[in-house]
Amino acid sequence: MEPIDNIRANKGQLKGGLFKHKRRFITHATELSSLALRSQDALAAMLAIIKELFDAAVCSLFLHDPEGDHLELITGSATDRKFFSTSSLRTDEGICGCVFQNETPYTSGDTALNIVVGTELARGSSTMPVMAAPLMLSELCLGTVVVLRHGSRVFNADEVEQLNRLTEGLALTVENEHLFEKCCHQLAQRNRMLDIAKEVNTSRELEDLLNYIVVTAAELLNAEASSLLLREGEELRFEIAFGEKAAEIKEFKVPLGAGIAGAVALSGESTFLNEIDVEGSNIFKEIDEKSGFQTRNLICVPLRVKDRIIGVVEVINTRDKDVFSRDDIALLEGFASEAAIALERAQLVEERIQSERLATIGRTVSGLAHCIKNITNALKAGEYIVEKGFRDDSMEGLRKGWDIMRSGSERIRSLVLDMLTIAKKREPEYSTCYPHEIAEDVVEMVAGEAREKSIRIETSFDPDIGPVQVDRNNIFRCLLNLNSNALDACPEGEGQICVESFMHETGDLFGYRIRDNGHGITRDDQKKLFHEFFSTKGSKGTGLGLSVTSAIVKEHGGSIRCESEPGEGTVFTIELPVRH
Amino acid sequence: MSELAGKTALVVDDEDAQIEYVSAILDDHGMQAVTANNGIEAQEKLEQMTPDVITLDLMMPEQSGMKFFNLIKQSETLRDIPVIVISGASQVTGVDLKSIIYDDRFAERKLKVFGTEATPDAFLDKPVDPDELVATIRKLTDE
Repeated sequence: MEPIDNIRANKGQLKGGLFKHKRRFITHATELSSLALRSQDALAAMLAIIKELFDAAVCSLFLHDPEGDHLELITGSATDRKFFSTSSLRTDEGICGCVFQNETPYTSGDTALNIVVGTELARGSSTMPVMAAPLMLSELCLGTVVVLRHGSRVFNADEVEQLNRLTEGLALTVENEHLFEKCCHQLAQRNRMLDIAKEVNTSRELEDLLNYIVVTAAELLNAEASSLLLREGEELRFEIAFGEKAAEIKEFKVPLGAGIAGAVALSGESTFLNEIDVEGSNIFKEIDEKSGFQTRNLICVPLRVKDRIIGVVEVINTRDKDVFSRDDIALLEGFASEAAIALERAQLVEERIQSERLATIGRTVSGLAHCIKNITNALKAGEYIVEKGFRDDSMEGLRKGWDIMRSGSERIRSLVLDMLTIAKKREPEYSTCYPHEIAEDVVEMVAGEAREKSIRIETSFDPDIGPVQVDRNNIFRCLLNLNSNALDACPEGEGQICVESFMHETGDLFGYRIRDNGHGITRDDQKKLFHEFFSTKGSKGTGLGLSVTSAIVKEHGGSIRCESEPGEGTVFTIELPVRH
Repeated sequence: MSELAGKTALVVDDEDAQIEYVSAILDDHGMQAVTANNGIEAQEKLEQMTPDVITLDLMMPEQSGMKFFNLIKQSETLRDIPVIVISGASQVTGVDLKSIIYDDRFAERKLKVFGTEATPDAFLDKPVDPDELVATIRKLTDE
């Protein structure tokens, strides 16, 4: 920028009026350079200085807008604006258009305003001295600066020359403003990208993530619609689409290499299409026909994880401009690289969940088959023994066989009940009862078996536990399961089981403790205790008892734990919240 | 073909229904059954008597059938008693135990599963077919 030096160099040639402004101009210019990066303010200030420098009535700027190819009025003040009846000129309109096109200054003493601003934009018939100069930045003309003066004093050659020099500074200011805006825009975009990167990487489910990606891609480029296609073998499947016709678009599949999405997926090169390209493409006609959506323009970038392309993102129909730009591609590519990684991760998580689910189903089915097989084996045995009883005319044989069959059908009933308890989360059916009463009933129920095996059962119930709300039948089942396990674990003849009820110090929890002196449970087995179908009882156990017990306790909002050492017995403790 | 009447079998299974079942089949052919609910109990019984044949379940608590089988085959006095494995394990686990036991290609795996190179004299799936069981006992006690 050299206007100040030029002013000094041209000192001798300057008119007195111009010279007396010199000091002030320099002061102003210094102030301007120290202004913050608000270039718009700087531009307005510069126009004001020029106006003062030339004793002008108006100093305005028509800037070229390359997108619309017209000249846009920029004025320093509201008063200046009143001189013009429009804010936009064609590039061949009036003096300003002429100066812009020829890139040479112009001066005239009595130019009618209508000629200055364009034929159709006349405002009154008054004439004013006018000069105009092109705003040159290197080889590029950015627009025209136009200065009008009251009275009859025509702008002389020196003044025109001076204006011409000053426009160099103006052009730089304009360019600065442009760059500043671009910087602000890019900074905003960068911040947005950082936010998006953070957002896209917060763990979320696949479906949710896909949705987020298409919505954000369209938002980011201010477009009407967007879609995401994932690679599936030699095809791309429309995984998700955002926009009015999303559902129709989702049905569509594209072979790899076909259409723009297929080509991008194959080559890994981002691309954008304008209206003409779209019109010439069959694939878009086909998609548009199906979706009823009209594709005007489109941008497509690959979703890349390392050197693999897992799909593409398409953004369709710009809202605020006619075409997508290179900048849009760069922006979308940045977004797509974050999205691809997040997508891949979510897919892996989804696959793992799916395979875990399948494994669980597999375990459940084989566990169930095991249980049922054991029961049918027993039924088959019962059947044979009953038949033998008939053959031998033996009442004892009949009874033995019948007992086996009855126990088999009882096992099926209880298996079904257990499966339902585990499979379905239910609300407990609360009723008021005394906790020790349930435990007493259970002890009474197993007393016979305990006697048979010569196992002693002791009880110790806290008499202070008042009535509470529990699902009586289900808590009974829990305690029965735990007592049955204890009986199975105890050595016959010297077994000992202790059943306790207790109240927690805080008064908000009560519980049961079932202690036995049986063979204990190894560390490894303790980890699997509550897994469905885990049993150490061979064909006798279903492996569901503790799963059911744990499910019931959890339904009550309680907890269950096991402490055991092999050879030293086991303690199961159930804790339940007190409900009145 | 030997006559079964008067012969004794040790029937080892943790499930009473299976014990009753096998005992009933044997009884139908005049055989006597001595029963045990697990390997440890079975060893105790073997101290008091020597059966003509042993029927053995594999999956039992306390001491598994495999471990018990292993002990028998290591014992000088007991190793000649024919052992018939009666197991539901194949259907339940989906592992073809019969192949593992009888196919030489799985010798290594058999060693891992049974802990012995010895092979049970017969392997019958649960629920055992009465005729098959009887035929098997006949064949084994005939030798």
